[in-house]
Amino acid sequence: MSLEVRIRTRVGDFHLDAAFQAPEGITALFGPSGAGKSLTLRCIAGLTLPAHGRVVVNGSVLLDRAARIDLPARERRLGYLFQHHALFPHLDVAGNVAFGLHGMPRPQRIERVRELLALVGLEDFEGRRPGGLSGGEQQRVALARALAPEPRLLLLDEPFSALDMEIRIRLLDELKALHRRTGVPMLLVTHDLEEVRRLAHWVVRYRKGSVVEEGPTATLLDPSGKDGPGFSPWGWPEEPTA
Amino acid sequence: MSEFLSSPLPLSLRVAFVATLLALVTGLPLAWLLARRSFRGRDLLSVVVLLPMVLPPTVLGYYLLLVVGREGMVGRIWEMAGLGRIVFTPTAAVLAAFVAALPFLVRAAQGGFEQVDPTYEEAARTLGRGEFSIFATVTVPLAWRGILAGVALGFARAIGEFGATLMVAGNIPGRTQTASIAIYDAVQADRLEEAHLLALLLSLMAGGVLLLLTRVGRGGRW
Repeated sequence: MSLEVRIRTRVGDFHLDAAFQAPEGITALFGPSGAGKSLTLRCIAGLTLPAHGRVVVNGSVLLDRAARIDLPARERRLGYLFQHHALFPHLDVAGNVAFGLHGMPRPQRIERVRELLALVGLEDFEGRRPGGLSGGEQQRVALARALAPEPRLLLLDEPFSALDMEIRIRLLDELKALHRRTGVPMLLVTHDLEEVRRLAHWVVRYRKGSVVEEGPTATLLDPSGKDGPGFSPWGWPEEPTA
Repeated sequence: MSEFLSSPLPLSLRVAFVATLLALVTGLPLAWLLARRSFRGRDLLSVVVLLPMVLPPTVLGYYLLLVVGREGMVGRIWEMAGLGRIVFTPTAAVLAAFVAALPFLVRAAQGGFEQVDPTYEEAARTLGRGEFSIFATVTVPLAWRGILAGVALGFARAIGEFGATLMVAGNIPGRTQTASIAIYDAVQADRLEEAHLLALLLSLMAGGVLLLLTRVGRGGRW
């Protein structure tokens, strides 16, 4: 997988001017809240149109404002995990997971939903309603739903922020295992250093709407390294946001 | 007496049913536009759609006459197309009821759509669904309370339509004499017993609508 992102845009008073490239594996967009990470993710997914920008995944140009290319979100084939999961409350678990499998014949669809639920450890959850699930279960359903249409890249927007600490660590490891099993590249937005450490192979550090540095997690987060000052294990000190 | 009962009330129900159906078909896309899109002339569209709600019914009827009357543009096209005239027909009664019901439907449905978190629609987009499919399988099912409230209010308004109907459809027994007009007619002709009965039936129906709305409203959001 290769991902090439360049985005320059303005939302109200906030200016985002970010560019990075990500290799195979799990990449983390890391930085304090309000640094523009989620906005970057939305632009990649096609949910927000930036004023300027270019997004290329595996050689396919999804967005190139200069060339007037703007693939609609539905044609980008990117999975998206929303912060609060956004499971459809009027559909059961099977209906949620199958939502991106429209056009697939019914028997195959049922089989695929079963496979996906097994993949995230939720066998026999087909008929359950999202409202009756725990936070962790909801997230797994959301993962299965996002993976169903076989996306070329999975975007995760603060996927653990809505969860308890205890369950968070477990889901982190599960997500990593899921990545190994499916091979789907992931781009993760987080402000939590622990998440970066445990998950990401590559880190892109954000600050105030721009990328300050990027590199392999091991190098960038090595406490003994002579990396930029202020890079503490406690993450970034809160900065005043616009 | 039985003839009297068999005529205006079923006619009213038929007229209101068709008018509400038309209002639903045109009102849902309008409500969605107003709730989800920003475009030039949005406020103007909103005002035009909602205007019949605040206009005196006779003013509404007058405007309708200007449009669908024999000298009106639609009226003339209709006649040239060999469909006869519109005024003083059941079609005119449906039209009056439709225009009266539409704003109630649009307003309630728009409120329903606005209550739906747009993240659900975004999620559907990332899952490869087109906009119409999202509207039909996500937005409408999630906004059903608002839509149902709109249908109930629109239907109630359509059943009760009087002023505009009288002006464009007239008061032809068995043809355009709806229940609300028949009550007026009966009172004028001193047939109070008939007026009583029809008034009672309409009141019961209106009460039923209110009961439905209360129940739906109590269900809370999901």
